[in-house]
Amino acid sequence: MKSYLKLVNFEWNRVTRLFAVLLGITFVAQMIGVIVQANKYVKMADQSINVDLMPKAQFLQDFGQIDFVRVVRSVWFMGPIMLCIAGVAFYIFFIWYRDWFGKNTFIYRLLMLPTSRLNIFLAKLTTILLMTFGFVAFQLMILPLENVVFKSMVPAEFRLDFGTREVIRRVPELGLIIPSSIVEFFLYYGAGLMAVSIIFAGILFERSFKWKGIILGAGYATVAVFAFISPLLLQDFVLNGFLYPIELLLLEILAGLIVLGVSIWTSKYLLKQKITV
Amino acid sequence: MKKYWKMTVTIIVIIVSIGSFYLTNKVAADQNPDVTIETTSGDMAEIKSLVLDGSFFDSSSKSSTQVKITAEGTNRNNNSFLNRLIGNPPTVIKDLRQKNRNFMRGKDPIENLFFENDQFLAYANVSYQTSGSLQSYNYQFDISILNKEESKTDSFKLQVPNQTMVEHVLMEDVQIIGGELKLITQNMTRDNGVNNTEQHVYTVDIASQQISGDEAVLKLPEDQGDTQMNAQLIQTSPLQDDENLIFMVTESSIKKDLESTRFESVQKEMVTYNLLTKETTSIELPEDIQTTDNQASFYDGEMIYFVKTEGGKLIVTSLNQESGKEDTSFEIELPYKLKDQNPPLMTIDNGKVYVATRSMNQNQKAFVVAVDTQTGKLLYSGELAVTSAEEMEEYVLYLYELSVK
Repeated sequence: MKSYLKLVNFEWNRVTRLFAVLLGITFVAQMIGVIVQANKYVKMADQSINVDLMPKAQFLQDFGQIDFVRVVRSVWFMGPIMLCIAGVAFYIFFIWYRDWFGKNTFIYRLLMLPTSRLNIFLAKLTTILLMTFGFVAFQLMILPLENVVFKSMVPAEFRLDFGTREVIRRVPELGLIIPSSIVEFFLYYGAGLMAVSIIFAGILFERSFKWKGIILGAGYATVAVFAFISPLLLQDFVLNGFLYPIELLLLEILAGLIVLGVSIWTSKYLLKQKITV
Repeated sequence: MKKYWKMTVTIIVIIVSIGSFYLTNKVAADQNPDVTIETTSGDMAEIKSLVLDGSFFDSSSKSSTQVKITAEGTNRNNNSFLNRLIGNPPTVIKDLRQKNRNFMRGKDPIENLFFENDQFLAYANVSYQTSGSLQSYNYQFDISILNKEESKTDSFKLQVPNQTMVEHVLMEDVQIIGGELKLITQNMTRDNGVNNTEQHVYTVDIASQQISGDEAVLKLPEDQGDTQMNAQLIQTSPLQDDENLIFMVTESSIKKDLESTRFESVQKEMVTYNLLTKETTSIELPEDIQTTDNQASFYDGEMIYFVKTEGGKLIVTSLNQESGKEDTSFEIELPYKLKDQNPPLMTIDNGKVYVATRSMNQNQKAFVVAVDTQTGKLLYSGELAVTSAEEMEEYVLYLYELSVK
């Protein structure tokens, strides 16, 4: 346990710089987005009402009130989120390959540690999870803040106020990373964890068998995905809707846990027996 | 501990931020409103078995909640992931699923496809395959019969007879009578280039699992010019034996005016078919029923009821099925105003007609009334009231099902 925590801490310290940079970009870009969008609207209102002498009521009828959803939908806002997702996706691979191709083949030292090699795998998996949840937590923290800035820039009669929850409900893309219920949160990110474990196993196949390993890894991933969706396929093509939805969900969770378990076990085996430096 | 600070801070932030978001989410969900029925006249006991299903939509938070309203109060089913997953089938189906969980697996949640009596629970549907050119073929009856005494389920498939002529088959009703399974279908057929709609009754021998009879009860000609014929089976509760099938045959013609083109019924005829004697009789309908659209018909095994609302009045006409004579007919003034274009929810059960409005919002009230079908006396009238913890600016309550337990 202690060595696992040490390894997680070690891995986390290695990623904090990238993590902090992405958080910084997100915060700055989204704030700029809030200011730009709010300014654009306020300027338009100013132009219409004070220069074109359009009555305020007429302006509101024609252009509508501005709400925070409009801000969220802009590229200033969604862009950084995409960037963070891309960052995590990149780091899923980089977290392994940096140890081989870094300055001094670091994996050699890692593998020599007097601890189970599984801990190395679990520490890297945990780091990816921490990174992901970190981004989500950060987004949840800055959303209300951005909302306050937005409110301070647009007069009350020109804006429609939504709380964080309503904003997320109205932007389905945001609902994908912040599901509306805790059950969905665990289901989505549980599936994500499983997917990362499959990719990790694939990477270890490649590290163990080089070119042949790529094919093995791809084959493993295909089988794993197939195993994961097998309850759905059975329900539709063999059982003709025999299972009630809730049973299907439980089976899916079970399939996901099995795939996760097998991926971890396979990775443990590869790390212990087949890995080459 | 000091060297772990980055990790510790990250984990604490994650737990506090995400945790508090979902925790406050739950609190918000618990503040959903209650809908109750408040008596304005009559005894609440008159509606004790009435169930109103609907969904409550709060405009300010854009959240909707499934509600089940009874005399005792509201049963809420919020729009959570698990509730959405489980779905919201009609009350009859829900009860059947509770009692026969295994039998109900993989069966379409449509009331008419089921039949239940003391001995059997039966289900039948039509399945077919579609080829690349979207042509359907290989029509089959999927049948399941649960024998309650032996608690044994028989499931089998039977080929629909006369496949070559069949364009489409719809299952309309399922009955077990005289130890035989009756499948009532509407068949669209094509014979020598002529399209027909036929109402069929297929008889299935339960023991041998074979089709032993195929009667075309009604044959409706193809649409001709401006007129169109259609036959509608008046549905009864699936939990009830019906010796007679009752079809309402409507001939309608296209009425064109400046604004719209619509069908208006010209002639209505009622045809009854006895499942045991296989006799068809037609019943002439009273003048006023012949000429009105927009009315609901009910059949309780003995009487046929026609119910409609018109200018705030509830008009009920009942016919004796056997004699075809008008039995009772009355109209009463409803204690509430109604728009004619939007007929309310109506049902008849055990000598009472229940009426409820389909929607309510902050400006417009919804009501429930119960009227005796024999005497036309208003037994109960009540209003729906929304009570909520928070002040709600705008809301809509849609009611979509009125059922009697």
